[in-house]
Amino acid sequence: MINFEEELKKFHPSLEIEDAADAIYNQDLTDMADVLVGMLKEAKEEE
Amino acid sequence: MKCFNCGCELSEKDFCTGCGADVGLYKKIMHISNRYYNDGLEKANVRDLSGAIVSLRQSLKFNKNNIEARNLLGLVYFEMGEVVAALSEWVISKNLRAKKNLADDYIDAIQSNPTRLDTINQTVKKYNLALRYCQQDSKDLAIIQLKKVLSLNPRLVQGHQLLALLYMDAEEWEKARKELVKCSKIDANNTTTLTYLKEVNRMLGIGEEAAGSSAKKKKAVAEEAITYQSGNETIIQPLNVKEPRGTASILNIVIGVLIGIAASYFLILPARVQVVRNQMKDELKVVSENADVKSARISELEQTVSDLQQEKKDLQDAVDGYTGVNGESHKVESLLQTATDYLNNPQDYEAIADTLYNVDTDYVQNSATDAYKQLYNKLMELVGSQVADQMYKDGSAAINQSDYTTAISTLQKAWYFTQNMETPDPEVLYELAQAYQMAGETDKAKEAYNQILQEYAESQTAGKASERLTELGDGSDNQNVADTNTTTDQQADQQAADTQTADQQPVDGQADQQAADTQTADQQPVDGQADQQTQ
Repeated sequence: MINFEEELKKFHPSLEIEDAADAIYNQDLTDMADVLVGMLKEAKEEE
Repeated sequence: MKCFNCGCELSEKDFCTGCGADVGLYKKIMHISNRYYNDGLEKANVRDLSGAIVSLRQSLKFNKNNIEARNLLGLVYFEMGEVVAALSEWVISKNLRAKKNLADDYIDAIQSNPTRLDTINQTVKKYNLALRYCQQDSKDLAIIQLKKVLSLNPRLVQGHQLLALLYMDAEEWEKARKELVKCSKIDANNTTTLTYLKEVNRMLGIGEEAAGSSAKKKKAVAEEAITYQSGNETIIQPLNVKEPRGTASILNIVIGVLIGIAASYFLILPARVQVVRNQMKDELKVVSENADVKSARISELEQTVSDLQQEKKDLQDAVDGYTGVNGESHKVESLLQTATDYLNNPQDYEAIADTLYNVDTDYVQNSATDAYKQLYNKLMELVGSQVADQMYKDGSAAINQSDYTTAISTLQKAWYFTQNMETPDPEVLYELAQAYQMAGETDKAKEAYNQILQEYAESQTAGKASERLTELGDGSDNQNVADTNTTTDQQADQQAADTQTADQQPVDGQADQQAADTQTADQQPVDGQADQQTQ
């Protein structure tokens, strides 16, 4: 049996156009490649 | 693929040929990213949009520079109605690769239509408002808002899901199912949609039946169809399927004809009827105007006919007055009859008097022709005096016999002929007056006496008439006439008195003496000289 209140919590407000710029700037674009490069850099520095 | 350290193009080796950096792990990461991209692409191809989003996000977690994955993610977001999220991905994609990027086209397609962009923004705001209504337990308002949102952006999966959830909360399962079916058509394997749909089907009790029926259908199709593989495609060719013929075709034709007739009746006919009505109105107007003109003409002609009929009647009356039964003139006939009677027997005065008496003297004097007048005058000249004498004698005889009616008619004729003589004899009129008096027609008698006094005052008869008037109690008139006679011509009175005395003494001694006495007594205060002579 579906609980309406619980299900409602799964819905989030959509992004409005005015908020798009902030969302783009604040998006965390770090990927696995960045993590790998960072780890390799740290390893080199330790050597 | 390029080296993350120096940017050189990598080879199949696990190290960079340019800088010698170890790129084995880096290459694996790139491969995993590509693998997720391919997975996402496959899911997107079968409309598993939510699954595609998951795969594409994973792809971007491994390689943020996977432009194809990012562009596809934006496209999937756009397809699910989340336009702002799509725009965000495309903008990032464009920043990562400024040239030769499909994101350019997507962004241009949206930004080139500001109205659509504004509409999209409105739908997003309304969706957020509906979500707030839900959180505030204003579910009716939320449903209304969501209906508006979905009318503007029917691909917003979240909107359909939220509306379905509201319907499910209101236990409107059929409506909820419709919304969830729409969701499934956009995003086939959305977990939320499938969860809700399962619940709805369970509540409607159609899950097992649907599953059973679909299995039967598949089995029936398998039995009635030939399935074979053609390359990558599976071709299912149905058996025992015939084109509709015979009764079905006739039925379709009949339905088509009925639809055509209905269209004519409801679309074409009213316009034609209106046109015909307008034409009829115009014609009716023209006919009415013509009818008015003709009515006026008929009234005019009727008036003319009436006038002509009246004129005809007048003329007919005039003609009837002039003509007799046989079409001959009464007047001419009377005169001709007189002439005939005279020619037949000149001594037959009575017959001559009868016919000549009937001749209209007014006609003779005013309208008759010269020949008519000459004949009339000639007859009067020839027989007038004789007839007058004869009628006078006959009238007097009738008086003596006390036949006053005959006397009156006879004496009227006598007086008629006497009048037409050059010197009328007032005695005839006096005799007629006496006949009137004796017959009891006092008024006519007085009138005759007065006529004598007025017209023949110089005659002896005037004295007698005056006496008779006195007898009849009309002394005032007599006095007035006597006064008039006396004052106008005293000399003539004297002579008349002399003549009267001389003529009447031997004939009517006592009566005349009495009349003279009466006249003298009446006239004494005025005419002393006349009285003296009379005495």
